[in-house]
Amino acid sequence: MMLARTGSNLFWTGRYIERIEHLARYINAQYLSFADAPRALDKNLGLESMLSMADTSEEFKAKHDQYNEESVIHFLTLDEQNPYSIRNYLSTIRENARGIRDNLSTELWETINRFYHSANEFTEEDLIRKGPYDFCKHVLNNVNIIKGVADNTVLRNESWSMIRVGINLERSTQITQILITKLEDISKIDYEKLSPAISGYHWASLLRSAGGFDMSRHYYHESPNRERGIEFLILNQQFPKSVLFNLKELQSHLLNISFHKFASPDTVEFTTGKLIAYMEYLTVDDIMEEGEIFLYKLKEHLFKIGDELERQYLQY
Amino acid sequence: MEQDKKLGEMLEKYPRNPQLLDEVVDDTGRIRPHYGEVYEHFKQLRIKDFEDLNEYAKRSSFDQGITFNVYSDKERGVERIFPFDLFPRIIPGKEWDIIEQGIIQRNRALNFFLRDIYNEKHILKDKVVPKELIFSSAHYCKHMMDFVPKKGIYVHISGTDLIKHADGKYYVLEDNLRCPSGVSYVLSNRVATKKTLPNLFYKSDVQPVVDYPEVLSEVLTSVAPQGIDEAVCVLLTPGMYNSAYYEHSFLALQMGVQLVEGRDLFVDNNFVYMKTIHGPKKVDVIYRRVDDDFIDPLVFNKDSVLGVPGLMNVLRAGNVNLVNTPGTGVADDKAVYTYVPDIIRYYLDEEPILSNVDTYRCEKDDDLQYVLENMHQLVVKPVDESGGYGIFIGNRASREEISNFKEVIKSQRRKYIAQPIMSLSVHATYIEDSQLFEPRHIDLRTFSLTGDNIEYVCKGGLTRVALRKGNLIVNSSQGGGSKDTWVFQE
Amino acid sequence: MITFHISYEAENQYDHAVQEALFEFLVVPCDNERQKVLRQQSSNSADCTPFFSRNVFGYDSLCFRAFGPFRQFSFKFDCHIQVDDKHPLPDVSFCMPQEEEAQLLQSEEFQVDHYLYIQQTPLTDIPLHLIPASMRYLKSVPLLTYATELNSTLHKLIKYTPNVTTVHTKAIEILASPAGVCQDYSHLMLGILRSQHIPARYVSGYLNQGKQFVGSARMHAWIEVFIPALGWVGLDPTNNLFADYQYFKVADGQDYDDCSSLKGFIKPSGINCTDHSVQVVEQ
Repeated sequence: MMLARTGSNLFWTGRYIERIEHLARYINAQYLSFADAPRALDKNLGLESMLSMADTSEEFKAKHDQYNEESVIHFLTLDEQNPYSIRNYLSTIRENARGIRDNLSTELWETINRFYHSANEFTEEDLIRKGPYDFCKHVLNNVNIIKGVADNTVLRNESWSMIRVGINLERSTQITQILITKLEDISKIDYEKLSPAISGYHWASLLRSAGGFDMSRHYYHESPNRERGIEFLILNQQFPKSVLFNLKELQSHLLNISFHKFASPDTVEFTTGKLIAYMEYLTVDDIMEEGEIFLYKLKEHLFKIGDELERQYLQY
Repeated sequence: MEQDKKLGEMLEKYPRNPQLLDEVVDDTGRIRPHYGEVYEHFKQLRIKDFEDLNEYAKRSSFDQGITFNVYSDKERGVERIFPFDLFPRIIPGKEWDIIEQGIIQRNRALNFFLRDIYNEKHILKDKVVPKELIFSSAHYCKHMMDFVPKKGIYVHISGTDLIKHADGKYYVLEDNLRCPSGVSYVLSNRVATKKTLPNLFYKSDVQPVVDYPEVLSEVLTSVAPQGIDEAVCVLLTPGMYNSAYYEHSFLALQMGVQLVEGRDLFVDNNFVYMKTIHGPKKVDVIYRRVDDDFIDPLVFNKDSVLGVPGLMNVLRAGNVNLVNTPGTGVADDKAVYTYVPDIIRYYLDEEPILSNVDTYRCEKDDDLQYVLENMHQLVVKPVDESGGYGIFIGNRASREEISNFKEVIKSQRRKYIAQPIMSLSVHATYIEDSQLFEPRHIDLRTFSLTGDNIEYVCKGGLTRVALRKGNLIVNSSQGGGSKDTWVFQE
Repeated sequence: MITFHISYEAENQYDHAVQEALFEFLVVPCDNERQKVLRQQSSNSADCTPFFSRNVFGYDSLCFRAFGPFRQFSFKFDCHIQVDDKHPLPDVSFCMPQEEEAQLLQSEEFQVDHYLYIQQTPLTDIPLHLIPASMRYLKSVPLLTYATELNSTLHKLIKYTPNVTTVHTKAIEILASPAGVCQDYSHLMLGILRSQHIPARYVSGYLNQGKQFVGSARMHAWIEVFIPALGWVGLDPTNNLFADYQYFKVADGQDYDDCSSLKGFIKPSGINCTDHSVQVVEQ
């Protein structure tokens, strides 16, 4: 007998935890790659890419007229005036968790609470002096701890499934967005200058941003390129960050929540099942034929799933 | 060695005040028999151990997040832990029996009273209680007229405040019939005591208090609308920013009922539903911790978002029940309090078991005269404020203050009542600042439940301690403390 | 017996998108010894199914729980009502002897039983000393006569003027500045009667306008005063008439707030603008 409001809190807690993990990793990966970048690349592209990843380019442009490393990184991480900074997402995660404390284990609440307080100890000066590495690493470590504690302590009931649905959906969305962003980055480069080395560099950087570089090398035994990158992140059924992997997990959690009701065409279960069925027999060549349009359509499908889920279960 | 110094030495220096009735020590200086074992136990504790235990008990409260907001600090709503004193207050079984019977009698009479004043109004026509007093009360709820809630019960949960006066008798200070709070402290104090004094506790035959949530759950189910097999009960809270939120979520968890806010509920088809992830689920009983004025914006305060629009009509249609029902505040008004002994006689044909404190109502001419002549030895209180605010204590006031307050009373006579300054009993309490046990005034808030065939009084309650020396006002929102209260099996 | 067709329409416009709402329409005429609803129907823009909900005064509202998002909500109701045009008007000869009547009015039992309609509300409250002597009840005449005279006095005193008052205007303000519409006439009459401990209640309903009556194409307000031996007697100070078969009662209460034709609660909260219209046609 879970309240719709509780379900919504749990769902968004999952989404935001996943979101800050991706943001932190992406910022770090981009920042580190500034050192490796071949001369052809502009650092500004990297900063633009970070903002695009966080989907906050407009908001940043409204407040600042130029890109500069300190202001972009501060904006994305600690800026209290930016409602989409990691700091503010963390605040929301904690508020949400406070409202649903009874559905979380005590350890999980305490872990979230401690994370919130420790993250608040980072200052703008730290960022300027040392770069974003410490803060982002702190975020990544703590998100892992939270997921581990949740894994170990939360009952495998509807509460658990709601959080996982949030995580799965967010992950799929973030991975898709990373791919879109990367393709945009690549498209900004002059085609003549796009050597295999530069292209390879981008795909390696992308896989690192998604936390999948090592695993993809393990899987393919070769260095990354566009086909392998896209296939690994979208279609691979063993890699826990791939879109298809997450969609399938999402589907099984939905079943847990919905008591295996028969899914009629206007339900989120139906939409999810249909998308999974389509992707299970898709090849990377099919995707390459469609090009970027495939990714935009995928993003739309994911939005639709999120919308339908909220409408069906989380209205209050 | 300093560390081995025993508590006994400290206790021997206890500054007994022979003018006050002391719960622990009689007027010859001897420890009262029912405190014997506890006193012996405390005596041989090392002072260091005792201080550690005190810290441990405090931390137990802190960890559980038992705090509340105090309102008179300069910063609005400072969160404080309700201080807890380890030395328990003990009530012998025979004394308790009188308290219990007296409270049950009072609750019975008050429920009859509420039923009457909202329906036939016999007691008003018989002029036992003046009709103006009732109809002019801000809490008389016209939407409760011509309607009888399930089993005629209006007050399911009540908090009766008692004091023990210098004559050794218990007196009722006031009834709290709307949303009495504090039972979570009773339960957590007991947990703290069991953790810190386990041996002593189990040796003494203390009546349990832990059954309160279970009995409350039974009460809710017993007053569910007609024809419901498995009642769906919820606890309606204003939300996590409310000062008593901890208690709401604690009770909901203990009782196994869903905690909800106004926005989780709605009225459709003349029933109340809650919004779950699987769709609307009908609600049968609502234990509401939202004040009357905020529970239905279509009928009461229309800006309230804490309630459920349309709720009152559903209540009257008998399709949902509210615990406590709206409109009970008319009976815990301090002016109506003075009529409670008459109310008991009128409906039950019995003499009151527990006495009221003598009360003078300033709106009555002869009472007003007495009050004005004797202000220096009276306590004057506004009838409609809670939490101990707005109270005037005659023997503490200067001539000028007395004279000013007389004018205030004369301008708003219906608002004030006066009572003799009662000599509240005192209890040995550990005072951190002086590191000694000292006598402090105490009172007792009891918690009782009324359901269909259920009349229950929680065996113990909250003994509230006024932590400032000589202070008589022991309410929690003014910075008092508490003790675990033991009732012995006898 | 005469049959009338009554229709009521309301349209609400909101300044923002409403997600969820509960509406209560108090517009269906009640059944009593003089009138009976033969058939009725309603429709609304959100296509929701209505349910009936009874208030403390015993009257049923048509309620809707509507889901948005929407920025406007419209509602239509109509019914056929049959009225007894031969129902006798109140007659002083059926009243109690004056002394008996005065005694009954003052008795504790009577005052307690009718307190709900004797008690003033903020909208009707007028301190006794502000009431001109000419409007007071001198117990030398039967209560019915006094009430009828008061009806006429107020009709002459107050100038019918739309748009100078609102639903929050108090009786005491009307006494000071006598201009307003039907609810103001009614609140003032209630205030005067109640300050003298005479039970009186606010009535809302429909008036067959015809050509000679003053009102608007909206619901009408009048009062009912309790006359011992006769019961509740309807008087319309706006038109200086007894509320006869041309008056179709919907509900009564202590004042306007208890009888408003539409009460709603919307989420998120915001400003709304409501347009009502009413039509009464003899069949």
